[in-house]
Amino acid sequence: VTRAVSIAGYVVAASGLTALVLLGRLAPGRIARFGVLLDAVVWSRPARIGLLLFWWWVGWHFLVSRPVD
Amino acid sequence: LPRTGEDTRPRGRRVGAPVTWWIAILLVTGAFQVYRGAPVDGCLFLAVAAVLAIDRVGALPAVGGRPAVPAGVLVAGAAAVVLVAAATPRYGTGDVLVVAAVGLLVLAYGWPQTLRPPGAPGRPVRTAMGAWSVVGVATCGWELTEYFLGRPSAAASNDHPALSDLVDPLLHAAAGRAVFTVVWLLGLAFLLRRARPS
Repeated sequence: VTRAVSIAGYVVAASGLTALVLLGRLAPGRIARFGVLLDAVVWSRPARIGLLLFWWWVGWHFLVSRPVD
Repeated sequence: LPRTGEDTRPRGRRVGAPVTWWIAILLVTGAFQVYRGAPVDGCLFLAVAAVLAIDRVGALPAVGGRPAVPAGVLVAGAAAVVLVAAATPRYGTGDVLVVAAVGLLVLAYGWPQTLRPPGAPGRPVRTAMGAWSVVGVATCGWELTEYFLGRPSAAASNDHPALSDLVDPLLHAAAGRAVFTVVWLLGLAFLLRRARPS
């Protein structure tokens, strides 16, 4: 049961992120689309490099870094 | 007006709070990576945070515009990365080389300051910022909670899997790594396109 609850938490999180993407597409006058939001953020070098680093690290994490015991 | 490719950093001005937050987030992430036993990952985050902090006080020289790379070269390069990730042993030298190369190219392409600060964000953008922040922090909070609950033992780890533990089995097969690598590269391309001057 505990593992199921844990996984359910991730599903809820993914659903929330998906909902925000859809809301941005369906009601861009109320909540900006994800791309528009990024445009408002990535002009700053720390934000741009930070976001790129986080996403690049996802590849590093799964392809290069062996799991930590 | 500044020319395209010109560095538009507000030299000499007090570092703004959002900029400080981004650097702080990278520092905290780096420290956590070291804590969880991934010192290389941690050093990557800490090093980038340090370089960004040095840059913000104007101690780094301004760099020019983005390098121009033909689309065909990008597509061929991406295909090579996917091939290596899928066809060579996971965690092998091939993976290290291509992922590191992608990182260096992304840094070289993403570093030049080609954009001017936008005006004050409108209400939809502010709403989106708040909503994405809440969901993002909640997601990270859940991941961290599960991580700490799973630390005491193997049984606890099974009951409280990290997100990585759930995704990792999908990458055992070459096809899974190929799909993952394509999505990963598309994500990088998407982020870089958003940072492109219009």
